[in-house]
Amino acid sequence: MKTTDVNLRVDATCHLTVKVGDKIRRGEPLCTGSDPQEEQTAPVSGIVRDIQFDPGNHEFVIRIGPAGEPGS
Amino acid sequence: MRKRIAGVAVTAILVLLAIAAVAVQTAAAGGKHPRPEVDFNDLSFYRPPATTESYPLTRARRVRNVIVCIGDGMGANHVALARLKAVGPKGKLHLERMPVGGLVRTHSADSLVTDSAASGTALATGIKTDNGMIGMAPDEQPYFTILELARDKGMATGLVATSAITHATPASFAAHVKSRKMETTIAEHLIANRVNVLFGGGRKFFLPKEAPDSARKDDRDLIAEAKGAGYTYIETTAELRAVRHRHLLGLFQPEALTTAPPEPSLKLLTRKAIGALRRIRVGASGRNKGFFLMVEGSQIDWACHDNDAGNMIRQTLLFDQAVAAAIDFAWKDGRTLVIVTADHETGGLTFTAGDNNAADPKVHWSTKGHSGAPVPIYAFGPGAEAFAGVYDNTDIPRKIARLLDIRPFPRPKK
Repeated sequence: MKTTDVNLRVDATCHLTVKVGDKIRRGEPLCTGSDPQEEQTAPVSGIVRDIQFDPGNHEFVIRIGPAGEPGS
Repeated sequence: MRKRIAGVAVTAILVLLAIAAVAVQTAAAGGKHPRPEVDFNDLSFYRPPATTESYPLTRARRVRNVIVCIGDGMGANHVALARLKAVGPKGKLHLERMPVGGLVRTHSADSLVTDSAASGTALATGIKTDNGMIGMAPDEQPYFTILELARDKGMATGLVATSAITHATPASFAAHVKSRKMETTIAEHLIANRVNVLFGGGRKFFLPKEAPDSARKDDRDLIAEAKGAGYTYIETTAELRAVRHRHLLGLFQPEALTTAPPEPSLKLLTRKAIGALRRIRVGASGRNKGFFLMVEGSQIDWACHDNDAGNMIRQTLLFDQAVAAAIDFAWKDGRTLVIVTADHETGGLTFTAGDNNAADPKVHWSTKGHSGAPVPIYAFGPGAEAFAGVYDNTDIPRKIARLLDIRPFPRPKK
């Protein structure tokens, strides 16, 4: 089990299906739409700590932290 | 003497403290290029139209110049909210005074919901492509853009954006790459394509890897190459105001523009681009053969990805000021077609009446991503009537090509 936060980048065209505070499982979809060839799923289980838009790369940066450690 | 030394020491300490404070702020902002604090509610920059009357249809048939203004992510409700905030429900933005309107479908080749690369490619080449691709079909066959074919006809060309000039929308008009992320290659294409005016951000994609701000992995200095190829290079508002040349490369930030002073506004960039392009004469005859200019309000989309209504309104009004500059020129010139549209809608934005005040609507976002909603189109000038109705985004450059007598179009590159 991961003990550090994981940052994941997804194209910002997509519709996010998670929000900050959501508890997610590994393999769970994070967004729909955009590139149908590329399924965007959670690489680890945990809690969505933060979602930021990166305009230069036109991507959402999703930070997933370990469950049960708020604020980590 | 002792007093003077003490005074100098105090001044030095104060300067050092000030530098330290700036450094702390920079670190807190989490980047090398902190963005200025902007009050999104301060819309004092906005100059509304003096009247709500629509501009008349133009009798002239011949189109000499074309200005395409693209509000990235700007749906009909974005325009409506900006109008409510700026001029009230009975007012009009500048773009709403254009006499012809329509609706544009935006889906890409591989998705109901397009990104700016596929929609920019549709608006530039007249073909559908997959999300992420620039200036080429899904099978990677490059297609000529309307800008390139206008240039080949002898017209002057320009691209203006508040993003990096290598970002998806401006790139789609003068580059051909399979991924929008290839911004260093896009920078090479923009210079190689001899676009007369390039104004925006994105300096880091033009600098060699040794430069502090560079995003390149090679030693190519595209700014030096551009100068060698005859471009005048500028970075500041003062330089922009003073410059007069037929090839201008203006990169005002390492990354995107801040859209705040002391940077030049999109309106000023548009005005200066038009001023430069209209003076360009080509060939042995030295004739002016008109120009094609694309202007993008890039950051409407970015505000919507943050679901930030205040910044969305500000960015839309900054864009509307640039549209006003384009219309002002077209009105006086009489042979300039101005088209205003969007590449897609961002945010799934709607609004309902506010709780206490009808003039203060309640904003609802249905997504932080793009939506598949159709986008508005507005047109003014000779040929504007051709843009009435409901049609596909690929039809827009096809209609422009017909008006400029560019045939065949779309056209694959050999």
